[in-house]
Amino acid sequence: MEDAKLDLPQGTLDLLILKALSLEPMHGWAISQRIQQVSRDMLQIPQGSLYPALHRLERRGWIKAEWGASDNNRKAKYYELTRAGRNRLSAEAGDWARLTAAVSLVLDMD
Amino acid sequence: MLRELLSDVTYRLRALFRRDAMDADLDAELRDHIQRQAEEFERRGMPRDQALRQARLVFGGFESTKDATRDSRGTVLIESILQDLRYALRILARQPSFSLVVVLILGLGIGANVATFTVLNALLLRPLPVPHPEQLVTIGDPDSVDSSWHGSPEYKYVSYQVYQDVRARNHVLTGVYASGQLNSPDVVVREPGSTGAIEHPALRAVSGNFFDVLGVSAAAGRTLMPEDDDMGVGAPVIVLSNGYWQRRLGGDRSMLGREMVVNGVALTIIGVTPASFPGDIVGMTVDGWVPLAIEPILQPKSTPLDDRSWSWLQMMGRLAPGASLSRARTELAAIVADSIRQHATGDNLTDFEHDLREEPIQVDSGVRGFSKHREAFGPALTILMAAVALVVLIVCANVANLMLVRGVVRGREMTVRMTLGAGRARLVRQLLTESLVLAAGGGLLGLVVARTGSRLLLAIAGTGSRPILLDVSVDLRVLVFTAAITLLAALLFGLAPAARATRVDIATTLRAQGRSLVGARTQLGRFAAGKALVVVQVALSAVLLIGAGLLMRSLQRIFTTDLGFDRDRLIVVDVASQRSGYEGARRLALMRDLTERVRGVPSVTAVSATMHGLFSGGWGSMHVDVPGFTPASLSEMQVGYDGVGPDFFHTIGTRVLAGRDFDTHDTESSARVAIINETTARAYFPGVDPIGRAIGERGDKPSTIVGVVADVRDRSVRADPADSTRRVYFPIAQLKSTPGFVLAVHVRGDPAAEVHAIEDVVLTRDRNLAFETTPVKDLVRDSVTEDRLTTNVVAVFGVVALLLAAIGLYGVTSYATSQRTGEFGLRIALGAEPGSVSRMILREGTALALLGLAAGVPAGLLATRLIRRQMFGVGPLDPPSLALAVLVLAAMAIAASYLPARRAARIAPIDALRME
Repeated sequence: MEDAKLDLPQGTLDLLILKALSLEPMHGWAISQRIQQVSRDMLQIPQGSLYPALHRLERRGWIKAEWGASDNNRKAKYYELTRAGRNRLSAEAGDWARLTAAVSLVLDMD
Repeated sequence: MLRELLSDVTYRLRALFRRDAMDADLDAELRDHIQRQAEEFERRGMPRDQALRQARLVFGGFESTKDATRDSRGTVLIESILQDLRYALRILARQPSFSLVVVLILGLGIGANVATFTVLNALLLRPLPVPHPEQLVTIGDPDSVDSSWHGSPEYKYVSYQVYQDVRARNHVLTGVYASGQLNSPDVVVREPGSTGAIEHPALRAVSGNFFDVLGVSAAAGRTLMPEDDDMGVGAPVIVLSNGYWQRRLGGDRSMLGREMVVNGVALTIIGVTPASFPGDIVGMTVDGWVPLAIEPILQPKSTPLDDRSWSWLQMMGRLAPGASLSRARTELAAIVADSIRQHATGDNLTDFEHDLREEPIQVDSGVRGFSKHREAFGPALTILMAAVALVVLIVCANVANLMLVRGVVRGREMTVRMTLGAGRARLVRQLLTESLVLAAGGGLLGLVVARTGSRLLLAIAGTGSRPILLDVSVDLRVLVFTAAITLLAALLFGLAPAARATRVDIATTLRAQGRSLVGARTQLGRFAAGKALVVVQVALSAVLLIGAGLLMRSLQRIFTTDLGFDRDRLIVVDVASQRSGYEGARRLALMRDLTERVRGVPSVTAVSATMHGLFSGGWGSMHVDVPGFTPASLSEMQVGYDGVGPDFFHTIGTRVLAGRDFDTHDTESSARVAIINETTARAYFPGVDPIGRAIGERGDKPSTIVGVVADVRDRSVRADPADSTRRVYFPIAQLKSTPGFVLAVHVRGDPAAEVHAIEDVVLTRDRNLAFETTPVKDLVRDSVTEDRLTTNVVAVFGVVALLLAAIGLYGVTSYATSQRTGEFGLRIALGAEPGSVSRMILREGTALALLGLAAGVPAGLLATRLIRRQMFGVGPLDPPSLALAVLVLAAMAIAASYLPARRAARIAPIDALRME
C-alpha cells in the first residue's frame, strides 16, 4: 500500500477537495478518506496541507464551513461547496482534462 | 471576481478581529480529525491507546499544521505590523519625555504647514460648493468683484447692456447671470422691537437667474427667480444669506415675509440660502441678494442699470452640454467685444481697441468662483508655503538628530536583537514603525494646531475694516495633505537614523560596551551624521532669516518711503454727499462749510478737499488736449486727474515746484485753471516752462496751467505700471459734480487721536450725514496687507527655525561633549587649561554654524527670486539683511555651544576617570 502512493502535482489538491465536496458536505477527515478510497489508496492527502487548503478555499468563497451534528451526537466542522465553488470546479476540471489530454498526446508520440 | 474579492476581505477581517475564536475553532477541528482517525484505527483492530498514538503520528506536527493554516488566512503581514505597532507604542511610552518632545516639535511643524495649506486650499484650490462647479465659466476678470467704472466701456466688468447682449446672443451657455456690488446701502431691518438703527450689510444686485445658474435652492422660503427681473411683477424682494440670517436675525423663520428697508425702499425678505452656500465670491461675505431690476429704485440718483458708460457687473455662466471651454472662450469674448464696439465711439472706441490688443477679454473656468483676494494673496501664500516647507525640513532634521542620539542609546538593544537572529530589514521596519507612530502623533497635533493657525493667518491678512472670511474647515484635500506630509516627515527623519542604528558591527559593539578613554571610535560616524544635520538646519534657517530680513526691510521701506505727501499727519473724511441729499451748489456749500468747521478743531493745521481721496479707492482718468504737443498715439494723452480744493498741496505737504497752489479765488465762476505734476510737465512741455500754457479734457474748454507740483503716489505705495503717473489737478469746483468728496485734514500729533474730534464737528453740520473718517496711515497700511502677511509670518517662521537650529546644535554639542568626558578629563589631568577645552568645543560649534552659513547664504540669495515681487526699496543683495542673518545665527551658535563648553571645562579629572 505504501509504495503505490503518488505525489500530488501543485494545485491539484484544491481540485480534489472541490470535487469531493461536490457530492455532499463533509468534514475534513471524511474528505481525506474519500479521496483516498476513490483513488484506490493511490492518493493520500498529507494532513499538513489539507487544512491550510480548506481555509484558503473558504477565504476565496468557494466553500463554506459550518459546525454540524455528526454520528453519535458529536459535532464536526462540515464544508460545503458554494455556487462560486461549483463554477470553479467545472472550470478547473475542464482545464485539468485538457491538460492531461495534451500531456498524453505528447507522451504518446513516437 | 468581485464577489471573490469581497469574500476574501471579509474573511481576512474576521481572521484579524476574531483571531482567538478562529484559533479555538481550528484547534477543535484538528482534534476532531485525529479522534476520527484513531477510531478508524480502532475499527481495524488496534488497541485504543495505540490507535490514538498512531493517529497523532500519522497526522504529523499539530502545531505546525495550525501555523500553516493560520498562514493561509492571509493576515500574517497585518498581524506582524500590528505587533510592530504595539511594540513601538510600548517603547515610546517607556520614554515619555522623548516622545512628547518629538510629537510637539512635529506637531508645530506639520501644523504650520497644514494651516498654510488650509488657507491656500480655501482660497486657491477649493471648488465652489454648488452642483457641477466645473461647468461654470467666468466672463471678464474674476478678481475685480467690487469695481465699478464710469466712462469709457470696460470689459473686465461690464455694463448691464453688455450683459444683456451676452445673455441673448450666446449658444454655449445654458444660463448666464450678472452680479454687481451695491455701494454701502443704508439698511433698516423691520423686526419686533427694532430700534430703526441704520446698518450697512454687504448686498449684491444679481439677475433673477443667479440661483438657477448656480444650482442653489433656498434653505427657507424661495430664492430669486427669473421673473424677479421684471420690475412689473410682484414687490421688491431680497434673499438673505444664511450667515446674515443667523448672525443678525438669530435664524428666526418668522422673519420671512417681513420687510427690510434698503436706501428707503421696503424689500420683502423672501428666502434664506443654505449654510453650505457662502456666495460665489471666495473670501467675501455677502449678506443678501436683490434683483438687478430694482437697482434703479435703490440707487435712484445714479443708476448704472440704464447707462452703458457704467461698467460694474460680473458675469458667470454654465456651459451647455457638449460645449467646450475653448469654444465658449472664442464665442463669448467675441460677443462682449462686438457689444462694446456697436456703441462705443471716438476716443472710447480707440481706447477699447488699444486695451484689447494689450489684454484680451478673459473667459475662464469658474470652478473656483470669483475672488478679489486670490490675486492679492496667491503669491503671498505661495511664498508662505515655501517658507513653511523649510520649517518642516528643519523640524525633520531636528527630530532626526534626536533619533540618532536615541539610536546610540539603543545600540545595545539592536545588537542583542541581531545576535538573536533578527534580520536588519526587520529591525529597520520596527524603527520606522516607531517613527511613523511619532509622526502620526505629530500629524494629529498638527491638525489641532492648524485649526488655530489658519484662523491666525487670516487675522493677520485681514484688517478690522476688511476681514477676510474664508471657510478654513478641514476637507478631504487638507486631510490628504496632512497624511502625505506626515508620512514624508516620518521617512525623512526616520529612515537615516534607522539605517544607522541597525548598522552595527556586533562584535565591536558588544566589546565596546565598556567605554574607552578616548571615546569610542565606532560612535564617530553617528557624530558625523548629527553634525551634518546641524549644518543642514543652520543652512535652512539662514535661507529663512535672509528672506525674513529682506521682507522686514521692505515693509519698513513701505511704511517710511516718501509718497510725495505727509501721510503720517493726514486724516481723510470721505463724505457721501449725494446720498445725504447734497447736490450741485449745495454740495460745494457743504464742502466749504465742513472745511471751515474742521479747520476750527484745535489740533488741525490745514484742511482741503479732493474728489478721489488719498488711498481711498477712487480714481479718474481722462484724455487731454495740449495745444502745441503732438502725440504719437492717443494713449500718450491719457492722464490721471483729480479735483482738489484750495491749498490742497500745502495741506497734504506736497511741494509746489513752480507757480502756485489753488486758492479760494479759484471757484466755479472764475477762470479755468490747472496744476500739473512733474511727470506731466516733462511729458508735454519738455524744456519749456508750462506755467501759463493750456491743458484740458479732450473736446472740452482748456484750463490755464498755474502750477507744477511734485509727483505723489496716492493710490498705492508701489508705482503701478498700469497707471499713468501723469497727473492733472483742477479746482474741484470747476469739475462736474460727483456723488461725494473727501476732506483732507492735516493735524498736529497722532491722527488716530483726532478722528473723534473731527467726526463730532462734522456731525454738528448734519446729524444724518453719511461719512467715514480714517487716518491716511491706516489706509496705506490696509493697501499692503499681503506684504504684512508675508513679512510677519515669514519672520515668525524664521524665529522658529532659529530656535530649532539652536536646539539641534545644543543637542549635538552636549552629546559630543558627554561622550568625550573621559578625553577631556585626561587632557585636564595632563595639564591642559580648562579654558582651552571649552574654547575647543565653542570652536567646533561655531565651525558647524559657519559651514551651515556657507551653504545657507548662497541658497538664501537664490531664494530671494521667489520674493522679488514683494521686495520694495531693497535689492536682493541687501547688506543689513544678510548681516542680520549671519550675526543672529553666529550668536545662536555660540550661545548653543556655550553651556556644554562650560560643563566640559568643569570636568574634574578624577570624576572622568571614575566614570570609566
